[in-house]
Amino acid sequence: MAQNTQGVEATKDPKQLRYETASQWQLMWWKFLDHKLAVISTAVVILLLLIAAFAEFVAPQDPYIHRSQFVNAPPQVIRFWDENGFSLRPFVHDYERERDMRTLRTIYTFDTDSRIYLRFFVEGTEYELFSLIPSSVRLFGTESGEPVFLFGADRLGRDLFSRVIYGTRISMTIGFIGVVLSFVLGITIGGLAGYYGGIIDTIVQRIIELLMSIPTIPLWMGLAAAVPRDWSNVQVYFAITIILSLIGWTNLARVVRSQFLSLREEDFVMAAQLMGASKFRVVFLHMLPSFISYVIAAVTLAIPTMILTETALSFLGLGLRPPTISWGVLLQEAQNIRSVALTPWLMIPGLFVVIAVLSLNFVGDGLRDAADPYTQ
Amino acid sequence: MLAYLLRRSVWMLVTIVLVSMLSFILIQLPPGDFLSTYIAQLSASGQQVDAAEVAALEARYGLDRPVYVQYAMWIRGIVTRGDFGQSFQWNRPVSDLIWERVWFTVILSGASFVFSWVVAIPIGIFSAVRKYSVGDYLFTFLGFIGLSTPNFLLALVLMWLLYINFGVSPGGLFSQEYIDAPWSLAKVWDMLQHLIVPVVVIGTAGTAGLIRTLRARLLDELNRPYVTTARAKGLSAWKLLIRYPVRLAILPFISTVGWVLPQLVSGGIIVAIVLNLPTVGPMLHRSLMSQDMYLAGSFILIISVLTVIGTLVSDLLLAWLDPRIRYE
Amino acid sequence: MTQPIRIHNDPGVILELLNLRTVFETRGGTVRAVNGISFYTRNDTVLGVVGESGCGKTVMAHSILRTVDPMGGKVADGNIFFRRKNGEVVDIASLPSEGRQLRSLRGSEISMIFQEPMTAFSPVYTIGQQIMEVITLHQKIPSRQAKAKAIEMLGRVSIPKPEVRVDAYPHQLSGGMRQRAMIAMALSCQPKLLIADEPTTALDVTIQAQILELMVALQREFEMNIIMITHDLGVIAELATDVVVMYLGSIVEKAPVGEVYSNPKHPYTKALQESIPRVEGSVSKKLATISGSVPSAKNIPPGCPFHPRCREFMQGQCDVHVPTLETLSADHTVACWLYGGGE
Ligand SMILES: Nc1ncnc2c1ncn2[C@@H]1O[C@H](COP(=O)(O)OP(=O)(O)OP(=O)(O)O)[C@@H](O)[C@H]1O
Ligand SMILES: [Mg+2]
Repeated sequence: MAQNTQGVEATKDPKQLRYETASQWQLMWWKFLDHKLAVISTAVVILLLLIAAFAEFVAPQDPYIHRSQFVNAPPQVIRFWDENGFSLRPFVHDYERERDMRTLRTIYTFDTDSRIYLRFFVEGTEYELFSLIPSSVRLFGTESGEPVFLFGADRLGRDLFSRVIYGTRISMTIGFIGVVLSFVLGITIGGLAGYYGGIIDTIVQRIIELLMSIPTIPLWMGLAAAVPRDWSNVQVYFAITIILSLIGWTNLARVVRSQFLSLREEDFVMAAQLMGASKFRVVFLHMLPSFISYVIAAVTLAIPTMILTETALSFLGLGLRPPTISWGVLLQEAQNIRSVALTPWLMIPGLFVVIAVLSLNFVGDGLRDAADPYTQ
Repeated sequence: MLAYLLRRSVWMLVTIVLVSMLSFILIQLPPGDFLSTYIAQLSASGQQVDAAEVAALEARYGLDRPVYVQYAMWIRGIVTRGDFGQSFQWNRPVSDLIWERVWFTVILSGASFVFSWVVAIPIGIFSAVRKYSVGDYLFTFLGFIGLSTPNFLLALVLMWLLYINFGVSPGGLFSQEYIDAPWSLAKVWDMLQHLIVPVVVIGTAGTAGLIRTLRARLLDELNRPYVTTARAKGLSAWKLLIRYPVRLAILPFISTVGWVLPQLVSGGIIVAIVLNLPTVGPMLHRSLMSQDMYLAGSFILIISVLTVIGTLVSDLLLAWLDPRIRYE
Repeated sequence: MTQPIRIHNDPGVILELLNLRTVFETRGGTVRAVNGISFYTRNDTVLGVVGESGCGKTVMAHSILRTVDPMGGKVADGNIFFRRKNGEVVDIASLPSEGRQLRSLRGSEISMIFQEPMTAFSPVYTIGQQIMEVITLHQKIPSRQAKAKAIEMLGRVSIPKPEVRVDAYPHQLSGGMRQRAMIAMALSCQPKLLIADEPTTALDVTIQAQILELMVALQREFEMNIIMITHDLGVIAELATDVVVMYLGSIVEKAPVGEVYSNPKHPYTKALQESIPRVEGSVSKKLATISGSVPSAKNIPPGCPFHPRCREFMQGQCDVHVPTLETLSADHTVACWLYGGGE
């Protein structure tokens, strides 16, 4: 059967062939749309990226503001009804405080008779969107201007919701930027190996094997620990990103290499070379487009690894450091069982990690399936 | 076979040498050498710096010599005297501190590894044979969640659940009364009980990947002609499955040891920190936090070497099980 | 018109298919790989099955052993009557899938050999282990005896030094040797029916001839029936007693081998016959001279499946009504409106 169709293909006129290659992308698109989880996950990822971009706007409060009267306050639940009846407008209950005389901790309960109404687009504290546009409109807030703690507050009375929103920015960008760097490394090294083959290929493969055979976390930890303590937040951010990509490129390089190897044998590359195209042109015009879909899939699947690693490193205090806010930094607060038992909401940033990583994995999986001509 | 064995062993040696260089680079990375940090620490705490001691340390580790000489001296110390260097934080030789912890690490990684296989193999087979069934989707979804949850978070959540439901905090590897007790059956039993949570947590991370690998492999193998041949012999469905496609799908699965083991060891380190297990994890963490680099570098070296050896063992196992490699 | 069931009346008939349909439900629609075929075959004969790629030969073979079920196929309709060694006639189509009764037939009464000797053995067991497996499965004998039997069978298929080769792994044997071992395995329980699905296509020409010769010799020796599936009309001419010509899941003609060559009836058979290269050793063009290509089995044309490519196509008849199998002479049947007076 396969031979038959190939025989037919060879006799097709170029116009029809162009039509068929175009429909190849179309086909991949359809296949991707078939993967329902991947489609939903794409929406989630886009949402997270929007949150990252507009963190100042989405967060109801400044993430650094300490409020001593809200230390370790539990999350307020958004409600539409309570014992006093139904309300079209969402509201939360106000806190009531009591002091445990033995531990001297504040014990919070909710005053079910009180209602703090929530509203979209309220005036809040001043901020600069993208550090450029001054504004004070927040996505949502309370009518009274009273702070609201949807995810509770930490031990300094900072709003965890706002902090998670800001953390989204750092954690997502570190994943994406790290992958871009990895990608550059991977495509250069993997491309060289795959294109030239021979001794270069062998060396690159051995290096990849080496890097993959050592447990990465200790290596990461070691590198991260070597980042000087007196570096600024921005420096640490980039140092960590570079460290992530230094170890993360191996898998990408493998994908690129194997794609190159299989393409190298293909006739059209040979034909282009015979016709005098320079090697550079061959690589970029003829080889790149044809495996781009695989690489996109591999890249997408590499982002979650980066996010997970950043989270782990920061959690251990070896990655980003406060006052930088990332999901991992936030989880540092939940490091011991005592604080987790008393303030379990401190684990909420972990939920965001899981959602982000899960969605990116699904998107990557959908892309890979779509790119694979052999899946149905 | 002999050639294969030889080739793998040589490659392992090369890997170990490279790993040792990497570890040494890590030791050297923080600005200043450990001695100056040590001296700075001592003076900061107002202690007297003993010039003779400094000179002795300097000579022992060749700190005044070029880096490659220092590396050579470090390695020579390890190979000839088992001397990994000095931990200035503990002010003791590194080798005094690590071995017991390395031993626990090996136990923990080994147990997690067995756990992940025991879970992954039946589920992988089920998922492949009942492709696209409800069960397959369920396991795939759970697998994805497992892949997406950081180990330490899983550990935290489990600990929290145990704590609020049973009031126990499952940290450590032994109950209070056994920590310093001599080894006995009761102590081993106690340890096994404490191992459950960490093993489940660490093992789960690798399991998802293993299930997916096995499922994909088995789906490939199920369509091979030899399966049809065997079916045409009249074998029962179950025997056929186990003797033919599973037997072959397991082979590349064995080579996953190469990436599962490093992953487990990695995961184990973080989980051990959260659960406060007496493995290398917490100590490595502490040493890195305080840039006690000889200790940290030695840990990284030992863990990596053990992992590489584990991978070699799995390679040999694979060769033993796969006649195609054995007779290469 | 219902066909007579011969197998009940004629003890010489070993296998009879009646209106067999095998389908695959795929996402793109139902693939009617075998679309209502009927034929029978006698003891001690070689039945050749020819047809273009994709016409359903392999699926038919797997239907007889019901190994299509695990491939996602289904015997949707019809009967597969088979006479067992003890004389009892069973309808294989009605046996439970992968059941005990079915399995007791496979390998012991009906065996099959495949096109790809490279991959038809599991690479992780020795040839001997794989042959012994089928022996011990169907005959309760100790493994030492089974091994002796395996060695004997390897000798029978002319493998040199069988007592050494029995411990070889498949990848240590050449393609031809592997196919011989395959035959040895298939015959190790003395089946009454051997289905060979293009047993020589993957081998080079000299080896092909040896294997075919071997099969003919063994067929006589074991007094069995062979169903030989092939693309190659040359092979059929040399080996077969009768020929079944398939087209798109249907049988278009069945005749003794001489008739097919000297007196083909169906336009498709004629075209096939003309396409055989005349000069020995010239490059085989095989079926290339028939205009057009085979339509997909998902989309079988109405009426006679061959009508879009037929040179003697009759408008209003061939594209509307499905031709029935007409008996022309004792053993010669054809499904074509050129010969059909039925209605
Ligand atoms: N597992 C399957 N799922 C779906 N369709 C199938 C499957 N196996 C075979 N088919 C379809 O059934 C039809 C008959 O295939 P079959 O393999 O029997 O052809 P064949 O005559 O043996 O061809 P060849 O000479 O190439 O071996 C084809 O259209 C094929 O696409
Ligand atoms: Mg076939």
